[in-house]
Amino acid sequence: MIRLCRVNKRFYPGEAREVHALRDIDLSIQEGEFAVITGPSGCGKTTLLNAIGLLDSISSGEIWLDERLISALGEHEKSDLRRDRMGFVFQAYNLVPVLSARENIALIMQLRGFKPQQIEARVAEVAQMLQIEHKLDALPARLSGGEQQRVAVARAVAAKPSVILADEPTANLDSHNAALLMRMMRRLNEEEGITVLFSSHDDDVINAAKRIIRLKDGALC
Amino acid sequence: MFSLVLKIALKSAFIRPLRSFLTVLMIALSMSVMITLEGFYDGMVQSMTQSVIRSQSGDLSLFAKGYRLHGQIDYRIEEAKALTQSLREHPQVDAAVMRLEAQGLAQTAHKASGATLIGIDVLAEERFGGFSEFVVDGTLDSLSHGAAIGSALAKRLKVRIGSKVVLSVVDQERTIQSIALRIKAVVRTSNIARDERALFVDYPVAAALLGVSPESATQIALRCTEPHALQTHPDLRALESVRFEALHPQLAQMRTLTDLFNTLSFGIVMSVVFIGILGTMYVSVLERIREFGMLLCIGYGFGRLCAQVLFEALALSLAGFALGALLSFGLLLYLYVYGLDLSAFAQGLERFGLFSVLYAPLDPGYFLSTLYAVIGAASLSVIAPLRRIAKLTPVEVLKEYP
Repeated sequence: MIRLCRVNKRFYPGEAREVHALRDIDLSIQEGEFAVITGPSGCGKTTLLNAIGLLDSISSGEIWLDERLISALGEHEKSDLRRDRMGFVFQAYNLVPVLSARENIALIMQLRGFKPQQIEARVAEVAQMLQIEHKLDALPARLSGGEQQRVAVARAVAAKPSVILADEPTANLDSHNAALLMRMMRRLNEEEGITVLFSSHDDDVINAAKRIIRLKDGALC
Repeated sequence: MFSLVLKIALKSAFIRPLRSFLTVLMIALSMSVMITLEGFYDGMVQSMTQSVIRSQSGDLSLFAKGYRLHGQIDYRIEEAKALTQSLREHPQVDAAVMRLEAQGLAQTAHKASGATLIGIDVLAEERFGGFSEFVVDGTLDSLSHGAAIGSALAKRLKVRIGSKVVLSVVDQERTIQSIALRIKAVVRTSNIARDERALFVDYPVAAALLGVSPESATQIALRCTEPHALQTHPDLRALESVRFEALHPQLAQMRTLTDLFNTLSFGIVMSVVFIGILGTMYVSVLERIREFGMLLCIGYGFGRLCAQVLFEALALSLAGFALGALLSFGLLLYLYVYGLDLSAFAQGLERFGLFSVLYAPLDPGYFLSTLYAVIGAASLSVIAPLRRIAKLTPVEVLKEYP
């Protein structure tokens, strides 16, 4: 499903401060996988996720999604692809503060032009799966960190993307909420068949993954 | 899709209520002060020009050729009555009056002053310019047995209602003719030329005194919407037709000057409004960089972000406009109905040809032009914040604003 071929990423190329963040990454993620990218701080976890999510360009190599070379797309096409095929969960939740939980969850579905009835039904469904159905009318500021992150996950999965990319989704959560979130994400993976790729350096979270991808100094190990 | 962007924009525009309120208030106050001043200045100029148009020149004046140069009754329009009647039937003419004017000397037992004899038809003058509204003392009912006198002339001659004035003029035969006139009314037109010199008498009396036919006139004044078009009328070719602006260039200049002043004030106020909205929008965008970065990450698109920021600026600006329009409408309505009473400065104002109570017009154009300007200022004010967003890449935002 996702294939990376000799992907390299260099920051500040040609300068004294050049950093070789990803080194010849060859990686395949199959449909329905529940995989974690782990490694020490600064090993390139976030850079790799950003590259796969087309949030950052790569210096060399190729990234394929379902037999389509996506690393060479233009910015506008990348934006459309992110909207239509990918779901993102950020460490800092990043919900739209003026929209309620319901409106945040519905956001990507609305961007993709789903019908209101479809949106309503799907929002209710994912809210129930993530146990936030009683918080749907609350603004993000009224939600706890755990609840905000579940709303962020709900937003990411609501439009049924091909893959969810989550960068340290549990980093700001306590162990109880982190475990709860991982259980829910795994359930979504199993019940909805959504591919989940996330990064973490938390052992409990890593152990919840079906596949562990280890990075060290920007290279797979 | 449009509704989603609009919803986020409207909610975001007022997410900081105090800041939004202050921005709206700034726009509203600037706008209301500007519109009120604009109305006030326009009212002043209109007061001056209208008093001259109503009491003297009309929008278009007709004279026999040579009259304006020599100022003598020899140069008069002979068939003035018939021409005036026919002009009243013209679809572009709202009202027409004929007048008979001659320079003379007004005297009492103690005082004498140069004066202008003006023969008028009171009813026609009433239709033409609401002549009775100029009367500050006495009545026009029995003008055939007396005269109405300009307020400044009355003051100079120290006459009042019931006083007698002897008016001497040179008639058509170059003979000095005199008539004793009892003052029936004192008029204040705020037209300096009229107030300082005019002695209005009934038309037949003036014609008889000057020894000319009552069918003739020295001036025909017209109220019309398009004087320029009328100037080409075939019946008027033998006459000299002069528009108000040409007859009173100083007033036309004053109108131009006021327009310029209003335009300058408008520009300055709108610049302040622009800077105000720009500041608010820039701060608003800067403090929400992370939100915008996230929206770019999930494929919201730069186009939608532009529309969202523009809608936010428009929401704030239009709220300010609505409040400002309400405030300025209230102020203008007050000035339109009651006017600004400057009686304490009446003497000074009179010298400038102004009434002591100044009224402002209620012109929808003030609001429309301000609306356009506010929309323009709001649209321009988002360019700098949007340029800031355009420089962002999602990954930069996630790194720099975690």
